[in-house]
Amino acid sequence: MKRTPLHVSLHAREPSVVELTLGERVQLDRVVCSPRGSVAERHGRLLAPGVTRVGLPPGHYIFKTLSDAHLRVVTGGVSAGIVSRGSKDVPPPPAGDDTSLPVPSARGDEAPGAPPHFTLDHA
Amino acid sequence: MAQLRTRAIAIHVCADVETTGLRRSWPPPIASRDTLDRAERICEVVGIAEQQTLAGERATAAALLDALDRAAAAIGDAGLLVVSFAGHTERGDGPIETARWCLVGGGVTLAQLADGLARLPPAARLVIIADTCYAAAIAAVLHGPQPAVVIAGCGEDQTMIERAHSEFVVRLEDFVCAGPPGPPGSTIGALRDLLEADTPDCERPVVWTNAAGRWPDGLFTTAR
Repeated sequence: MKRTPLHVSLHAREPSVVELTLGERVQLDRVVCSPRGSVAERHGRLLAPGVTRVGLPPGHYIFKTLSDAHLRVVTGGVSAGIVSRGSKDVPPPPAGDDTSLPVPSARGDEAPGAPPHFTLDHA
Repeated sequence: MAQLRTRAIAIHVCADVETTGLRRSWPPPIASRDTLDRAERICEVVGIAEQQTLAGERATAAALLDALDRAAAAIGDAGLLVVSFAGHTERGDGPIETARWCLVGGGVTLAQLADGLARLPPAARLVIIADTCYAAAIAAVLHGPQPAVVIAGCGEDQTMIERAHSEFVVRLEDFVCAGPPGPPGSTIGALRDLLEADTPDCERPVVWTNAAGRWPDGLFTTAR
């Protein structure tokens, strides 16, 4: 079956460090407010396939990938969740997130298919 | 005496209001106005005097198809047509040619777009700037003989996330307006290298052409 992107939303409640294991080159975006809604803004360098440690100032982040992804929280407080792109509705924030900054929308619908897997570990 | 025909025309479609595709409504993309501004500036810099902008409530399927018809009638065989689109694309479940650029009151399918573009004179050149999801899909649907370049914000099976501006359009403007000319024949390859550089695998711009080796040195060259 054709794969659709996995969209992952992160919320760092405090300065944190996470370790991301990825199967492809990925862009991590910080979610920021604009006068017309939430937009994605690149956070740091692209993440290469393999394991990468990333420092996260408090805030909301998103990334998408066509490969399985694993997130390990090394230090700090980070919640994460998979974002549904099946509809244009603004998806909910990650579980445990007590703020309500919506995740930026996509510029179209999502083609049918199965997303990759996402797993989360806390150190 | 042969009628003097226009050498270059630009049609800019900016879906900066609520639009619809096949099944649903879409809010205006945040970057759409920025993309329109940059596309207009690019065309101005390269000397395309005749620019038509379909924005706001004027961004309808009928207006776009009519603009393509008018361009096909007005443009000369050595002419250039630039079409830019900043908006949403609704993919749906059908074959790729049924995907729709979302417009006011209903979308236009990629097949309809390709049909309209195929009516250009056979040697007229076409540049499409697609700032939308599934942006490169239009390249797979084009069926006319015209030499074409598609500059797309992402692949035919990829989506784009909302940003304040579309990075590939920013880079395109820099390339056209500020970049030094490369060696003859290097334009399309150099642009491809520039737009693909430093981009994630699942949202990578595409520069496609069916005219490699026979495109003029300037991407938007209007005189041959």
